[in-house]
Amino acid sequence: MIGQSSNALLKVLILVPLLLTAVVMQATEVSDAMLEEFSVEATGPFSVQAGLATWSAPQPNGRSCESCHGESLFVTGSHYKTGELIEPMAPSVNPERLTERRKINKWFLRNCKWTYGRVCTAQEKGDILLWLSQQ
Amino acid sequence: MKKVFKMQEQVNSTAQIIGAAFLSAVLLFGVGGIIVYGVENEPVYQPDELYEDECGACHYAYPPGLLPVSSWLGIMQNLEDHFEDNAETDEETATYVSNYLVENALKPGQNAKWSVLLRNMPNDPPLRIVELPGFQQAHESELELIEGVDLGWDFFSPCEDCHRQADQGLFDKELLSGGYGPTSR
Repeated sequence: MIGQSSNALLKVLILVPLLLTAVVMQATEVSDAMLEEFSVEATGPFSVQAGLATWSAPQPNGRSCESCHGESLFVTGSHYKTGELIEPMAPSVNPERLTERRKINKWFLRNCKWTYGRVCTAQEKGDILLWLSQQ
Repeated sequence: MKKVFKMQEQVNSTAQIIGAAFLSAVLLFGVGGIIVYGVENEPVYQPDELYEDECGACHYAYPPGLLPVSSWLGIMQNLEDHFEDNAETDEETATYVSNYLVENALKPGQNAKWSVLLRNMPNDPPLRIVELPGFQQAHESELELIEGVDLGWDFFSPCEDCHRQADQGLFDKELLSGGYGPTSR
């Protein structure tokens, strides 16, 4: 009996951290490093909810990130004008996402300006990156 | 009876020879056709990897040989407002892409198949491929088809709506077939 319960305890001790890493694993070394850099200029801690809100809130011009990336990060989107297919954003289904600093910076620059008409703040970029990295 | 049988045999062998000759001719024609087709339709366009990555993420990575140097430079100087989209990139990448485009741009003697685009080129060439007089001339019948219907220039973009092998730089008329166009998108 004692052997069994300690076995179960052992399983829990092994499984729980494993499951936790599985959730956090989507983040990449690159996105983690960039989050740290953004946090220097950020006004507060990064929040997943704020990231989601910034991503999906339609702007006065009718645009949002979903205009091209679609409503789900887990499926292929398409460019609003050209129809060019855009691979899923979620790193869990598209492991290439968030692995290249140059690309992350490029798309933050291009897409923030197109969507919001201005560059994004370090806070906004951190919120979005944190949220994306957990998908 | 024997004679008739012999004659029949002769007729048979003649028929066989004719048949064999005919069959070989057909086979030769077919194989030859495949070879010629293969040679004629070899990819003439293999986009640069970084160019494809930078520009092909949002639209068909138009072969540099479809626009003259000045048009490419005009486009590259205004990436912040790239036909109402933002296509900015870091300076190093922009310089690389610019050089690639200029080097392979539409110019006399570059690609005989696309030289049609050079026709009536104005001194100040447009930025859009679809606005080149040579392009419009080559697509005259398509333009007539949509005359009076406001489909906008998007009708011709992207190329591969109709030219299904555009990614290999193949725009030959013979490769077009029915049912193409933006409606198939």
